[in-house]
Amino acid sequence: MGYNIAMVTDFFYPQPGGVEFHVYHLSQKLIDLGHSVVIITHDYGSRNGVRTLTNGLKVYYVPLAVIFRSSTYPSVFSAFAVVRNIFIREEIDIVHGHGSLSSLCHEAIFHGRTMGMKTVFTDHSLFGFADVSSILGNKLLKFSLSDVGHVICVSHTCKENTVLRASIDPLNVSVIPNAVISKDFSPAKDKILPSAKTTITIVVISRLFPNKGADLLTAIIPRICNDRPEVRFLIAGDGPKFLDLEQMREKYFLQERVTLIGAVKHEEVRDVMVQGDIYLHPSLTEAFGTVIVEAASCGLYVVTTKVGGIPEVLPAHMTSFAEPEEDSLVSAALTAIDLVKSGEIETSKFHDEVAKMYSWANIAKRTENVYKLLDKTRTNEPLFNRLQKYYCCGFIAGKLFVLIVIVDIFIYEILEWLYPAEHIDKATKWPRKKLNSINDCNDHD
Amino acid sequence: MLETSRGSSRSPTPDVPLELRSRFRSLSPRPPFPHDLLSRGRSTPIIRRSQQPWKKLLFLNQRFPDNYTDSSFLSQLKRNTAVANYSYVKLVQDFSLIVFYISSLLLVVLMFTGIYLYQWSSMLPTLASSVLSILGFITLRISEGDSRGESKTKEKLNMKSFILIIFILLILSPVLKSLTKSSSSDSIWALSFILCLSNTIIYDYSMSSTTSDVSRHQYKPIISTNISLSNSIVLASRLNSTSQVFFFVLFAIQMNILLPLFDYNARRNKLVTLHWLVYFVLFNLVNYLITHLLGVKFLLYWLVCVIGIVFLMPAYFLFLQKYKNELQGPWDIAKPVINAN
Repeated sequence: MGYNIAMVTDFFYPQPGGVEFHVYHLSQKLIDLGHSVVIITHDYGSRNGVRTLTNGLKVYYVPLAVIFRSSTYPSVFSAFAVVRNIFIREEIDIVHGHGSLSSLCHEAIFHGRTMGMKTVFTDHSLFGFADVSSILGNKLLKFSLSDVGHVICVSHTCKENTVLRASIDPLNVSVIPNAVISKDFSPAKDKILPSAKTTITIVVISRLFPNKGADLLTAIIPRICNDRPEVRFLIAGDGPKFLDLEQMREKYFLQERVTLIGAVKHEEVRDVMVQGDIYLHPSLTEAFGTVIVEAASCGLYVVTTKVGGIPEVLPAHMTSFAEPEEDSLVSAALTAIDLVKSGEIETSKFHDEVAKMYSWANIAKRTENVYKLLDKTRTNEPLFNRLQKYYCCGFIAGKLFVLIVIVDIFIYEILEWLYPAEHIDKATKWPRKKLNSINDCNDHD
Repeated sequence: MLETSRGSSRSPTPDVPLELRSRFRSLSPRPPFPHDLLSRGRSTPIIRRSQQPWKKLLFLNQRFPDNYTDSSFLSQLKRNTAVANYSYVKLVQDFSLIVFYISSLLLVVLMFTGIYLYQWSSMLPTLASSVLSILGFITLRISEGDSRGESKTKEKLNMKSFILIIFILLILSPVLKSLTKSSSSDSIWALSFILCLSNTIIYDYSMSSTTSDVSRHQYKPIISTNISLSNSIVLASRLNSTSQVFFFVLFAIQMNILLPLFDYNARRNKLVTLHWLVYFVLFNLVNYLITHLLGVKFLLYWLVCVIGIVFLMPAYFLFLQKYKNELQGPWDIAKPVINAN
């Protein structure tokens, strides 16, 4: 019997991004596995109400106030009524939230627990411990993860980070990475070997923000161009550091050799990547780094900084690691250029190798295992145990959290009285596929 | 169920913070993840105990459950690496700068009290402070030497702005005098108090408790300069004659803006004796004025505050250091090293 799963996140299409992508593809593969999935997100301007995407993936665009970077206002209780209605209407068994910064996801997990549902949370990002916003964010994460069923992280580094931030049992955290759709990132068909070409093209695709290493990029380009006259740069992406790159290009007269294309859509990324031989990734923080997997899948050799979860992502023969330092990155890039030029690195097999490493079908299967685990372990505990978990969160915070939980239970009772569950119409489900038909669709993802 | 996956229920590494461990204990140990190995599309039989060791890699299809926690978990966690060792004496020196700045604010307020309540001449202190300002300016010039080429033009510019400010003050003093005629004195005192308080909080004390190197620090107390000026204007608007207003505002500018700047430059140029001399004179002047204008009782309050700020606060600061629990690891945003060229 398939589950009825509600994916809850603030970040979803039409907005582009890693979490959006993950939620969509995971949902699609879970539907292939015979589950029923709905996505709950906030409205994006004119896009509100209920929409149905491919394979009957239903998306609820709930009208909620957005405050910062498409995160909704963290009001703790305000979404309860509508979220409860959707849960009952869709007969949801599992609430699966995505993204630490998504307050809608935390709210849904919390209310889901009040309603006695199984909950899973996926963390996609890394946070420090030092600044004020992280401290507040970590406290809130601790609150919402106190009673969560299971947590999924996209890399082992991300797991360590989440375990520390939310003070949870590491056994309650699984590592399930992101994946790529390998047929969307195939190498160029008529690829000329780099050794036969006169130029080597280095591709960079990144939002040009300081934490993506834009300053490092600006510093190393002139040095690499100076040392290797055959090198060309192709840089896609926009951001506050775009001007710096333009200035650098003018200062060193590199207009001929450094091409800045500006922002590209996700579906165009592959077309940009296949024009290059080496992918350069100067980021300063990264939970997983899907883009380097995509680059490797396109048959590019990857030169990257060794930060966050990046060292776990690709095998050594596809990547060259550098410290996030100018000298280290320059020397790694120069070595990579020489290796690629001399033909010592065989990139033609990268695509198939990556396709074996990361596929959404595998990810969905492993996520399904997490859901199955919830079946076995958690029957609903007495309220006292639940409160105890929240009480451990801190001297003052613990008491506050317990209060919030109790208020939430009262609100639940009031909602039950105002809008009884039996008066809510059940949604007709999209016809389910046969269970475990995954073996058929394994190959053509 | 694999035998080896039981190993995952071991206790976390000793590096795990206490807070975390106490929460682990509160949770009952959970059985390991029942991972169905065939579900990952494997058909090869799995031989027990001859497994490859777990690797912290995502691209391998490892025969471990997804929630496997290796003994290397959190091994890259570093704690309190960037913690500085503070010396009490250095902290006391740094905290004493707070008293210095408060003294300079108090001096202006006390001088105002004298002029407003006891009809002191506002000209004499201003003349004295002007002479001292010019002397101080020359001292700094000499100590810095004329190694810098642009010092001539800079001096000219300084003189120009100095004269300009004086003339603007002269022109504006009649306006300033009647500025707050319609407000009651009480609101002015309240306003002045708020301005002084915010000034004390916002001011750039340009301390550096870890290194003795203040030369790299950029001293730009823009907000507190503005607050000082507003405070002096607000107070001056209570005075009776135009000349009083002019002299008082000039005095306030010299005491609240130029004096801290002078002291900062003295400290930067390692003129320690000069710094302590100025400190001593200012502090005792304030003490004298408090005794003279307000009485011994207020002097006592003030001295208690000074002892609290200079001696107790650094001790409290040091005491709090033991609660420091900085967690660092690979998840932190890396600090890029870029060569300066």
